[in-house]
Amino acid sequence: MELSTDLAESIIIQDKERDWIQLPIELLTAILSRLSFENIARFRSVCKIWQFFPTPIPHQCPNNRSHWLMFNKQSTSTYHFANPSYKENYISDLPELSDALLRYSKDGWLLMSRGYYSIFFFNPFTKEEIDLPDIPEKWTYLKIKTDLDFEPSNCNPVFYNGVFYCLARDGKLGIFDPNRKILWRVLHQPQPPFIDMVDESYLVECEGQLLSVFLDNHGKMVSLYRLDKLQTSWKTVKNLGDKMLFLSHCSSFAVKNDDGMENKIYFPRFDEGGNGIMFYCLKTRMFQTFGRKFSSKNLYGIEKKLHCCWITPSFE
Amino acid sequence: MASKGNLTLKSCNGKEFIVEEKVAVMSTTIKNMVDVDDSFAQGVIPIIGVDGKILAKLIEYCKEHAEADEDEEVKSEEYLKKFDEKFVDELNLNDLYDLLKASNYLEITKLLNLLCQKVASMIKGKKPEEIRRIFNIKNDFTPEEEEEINRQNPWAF
Repeated sequence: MELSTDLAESIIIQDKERDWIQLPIELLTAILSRLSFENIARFRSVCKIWQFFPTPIPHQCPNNRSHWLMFNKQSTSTYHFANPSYKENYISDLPELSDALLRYSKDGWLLMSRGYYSIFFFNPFTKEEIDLPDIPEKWTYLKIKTDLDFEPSNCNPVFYNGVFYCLARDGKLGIFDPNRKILWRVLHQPQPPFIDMVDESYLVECEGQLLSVFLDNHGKMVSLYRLDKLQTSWKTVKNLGDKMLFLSHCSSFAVKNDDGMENKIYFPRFDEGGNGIMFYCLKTRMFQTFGRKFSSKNLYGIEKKLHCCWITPSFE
Repeated sequence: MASKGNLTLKSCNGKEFIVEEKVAVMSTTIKNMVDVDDSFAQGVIPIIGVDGKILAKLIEYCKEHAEADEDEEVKSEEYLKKFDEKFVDELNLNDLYDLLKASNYLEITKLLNLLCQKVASMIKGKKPEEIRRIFNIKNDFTPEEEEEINRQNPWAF
């Protein structure tokens, strides 16, 4: 009896090789949720049935190297995570962030605010939360008067050489130094570059240098500058080499890259179909997206994400 | 019939296994069956679609982990990690497939996670043709279609 069941078993086992394409969707989803987006793309290229396999909610992906635009629609707690080199978005419901505003992001963490006083750190990948003391208690507080002399750009200050550099819309710089008696001063130099009708301006640190980016007149001109060593003038930058910039009002940063994403500036904007994140390529001097034939010399009719930030996942 | 505290599991090809209840209820599916209907605890629990070889593997896994859950000092975390590694490394492709489906059906979450991680590690960093070779999958794209895919995702290849 024992022998015959063993025999039956071996017949079943050796029957034929299992058809992995028939693996149930929930199992494939569980497997793919452990892979980065590059690996999922390769998986999709294996065969026709897998080609249109839906993107799972990340388990350990997005991977550490990748940078994601995080945004939500109409102040819901559903956040989308989009990657310039990936067609689809990840979606994550984060009720922890309801009624809260994105303020800043760094190393995979968000700085959020709720109401006038409450601020906290939040890691959307591990869902950890760290509460901070209410504003203004225990904080150095400064209200900058905006006037014609210094009209702040919408981008966040950059902590550079121990102080906070703030960019004015036109390219002037101001410094906030919490260790000095005079907390705030506007620098006489650098002189702002001559740009007509600045729509947007961004300040970002890149390998020990301060860079500024200006978009004028619906992106007809994209101007990139670096602050010279003496901090007296903005010098034009023609290309970024192996670097890429991710720009948004909340968070901007520079990253080294050599797999085709370099020498580009990524904006919190999507192409007309709303599918791909747009970048400005310094080689072609055009706005483009990956994987599509979209390219444009300006940003007419292109919607900008407002409540968004770039984030690099961290699971620590 | 199983004595008290033991359950009898029967594979789809008629093989019976007497296992301790604490081992069997590592499977949420079995736990629910026993909780809801007392007759299962007395009689034989049929495990549909799982043959004797795979059921034996499942029981081997659950035994180690149930004992570890009961007394952490007997089986350290490190011991379990090594056991898990060896367990998945020794599986052939068909076993891996069958175990994935069985652990999913029986809701043995720990094992399911372990197996999914194993398959993910087999896909990770591999080119499409390597993935096809590993899992015996036929390439049903025409060369033109393949070229189009590579063009669409140049960053992935």
